[in-house]
Amino acid sequence: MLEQITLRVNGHAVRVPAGSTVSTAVIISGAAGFRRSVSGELRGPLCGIGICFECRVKIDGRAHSRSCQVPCEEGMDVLTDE
Amino acid sequence: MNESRHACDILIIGAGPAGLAAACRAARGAKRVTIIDDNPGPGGQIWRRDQRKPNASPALAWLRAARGSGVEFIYGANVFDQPGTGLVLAETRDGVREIGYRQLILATGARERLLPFPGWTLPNVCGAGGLQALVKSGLSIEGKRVVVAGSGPLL
Repeated sequence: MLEQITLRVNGHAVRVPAGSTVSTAVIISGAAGFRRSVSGELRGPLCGIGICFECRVKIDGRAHSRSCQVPCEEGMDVLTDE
Repeated sequence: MNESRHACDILIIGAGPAGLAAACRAARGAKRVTIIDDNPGPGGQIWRRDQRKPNASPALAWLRAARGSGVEFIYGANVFDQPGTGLVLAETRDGVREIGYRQLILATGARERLLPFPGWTLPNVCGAGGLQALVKSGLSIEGKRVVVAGSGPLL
C-alpha cells in the first residue's frame, strides 16, 4: 500500500497516494473546476504535462501554480477559483 | 524575487530520453553539464513514472549513467526567457533562477496537438496523454465512464 498524504483543497481534507500531483488532489476533492478564464468560464487540466496552463490554482498562497507539475505535500493548502 | 545564479558548460533543457542521452554524451567531454526540466522528476512524458508501480522505467539506467558522469539536475524549473547569449531564466517555486551556459541543447520533446471543438475547454475534458499523465500521478478512473473521441495512435 502506498503512503498517503493529506492536504487541503478549498478547506477540505483530501487524501492522495504519495507522489500524486496537486491536479489529482483537486479532481479527487470534487471541485467543479480549477480556475476561471477571463470571461469567467470554469477550466481544468487539458494537457496534464505543464503546457496548457489550464490547471492553475493557488498553492500555499502562490497564485497561478500549475497543479499538474507540483507534487502533493503533507499539509499543503490548495485553492481553486470557484 | 529570490534570484540565484547557476553556471555550467552545457545546459540541456528537458530530462526526457533525448535530454538524458545528450547529457551522458556531453559529460564525456564537458566540465560541467546541467539538465533542467519543469517536471518534478526525470523521464519526460514517455518515461513518466506510474506512482502505483515500482519504477522499472528504462530512464533508470540512463539516470544512473548521467549521475555517474556528474551531470547536475534541476527539476521544477521552467525556462521562460533568454535575455542574452549564454543565459536563460527559469521560474521555480522559490523564484527566478539565472542559469549561465556556454552551449545549449534543447530536448524539449513533444506535446499533444488537439483539434479545438465546442466544449473542449470544459473541466474534465482533456487529451488522451493528459489523462494518462493524471492517472500515472495517482488519479483512479476505475469504475468511471470515459468518453473517448478520436482514434489516433495514443488511444
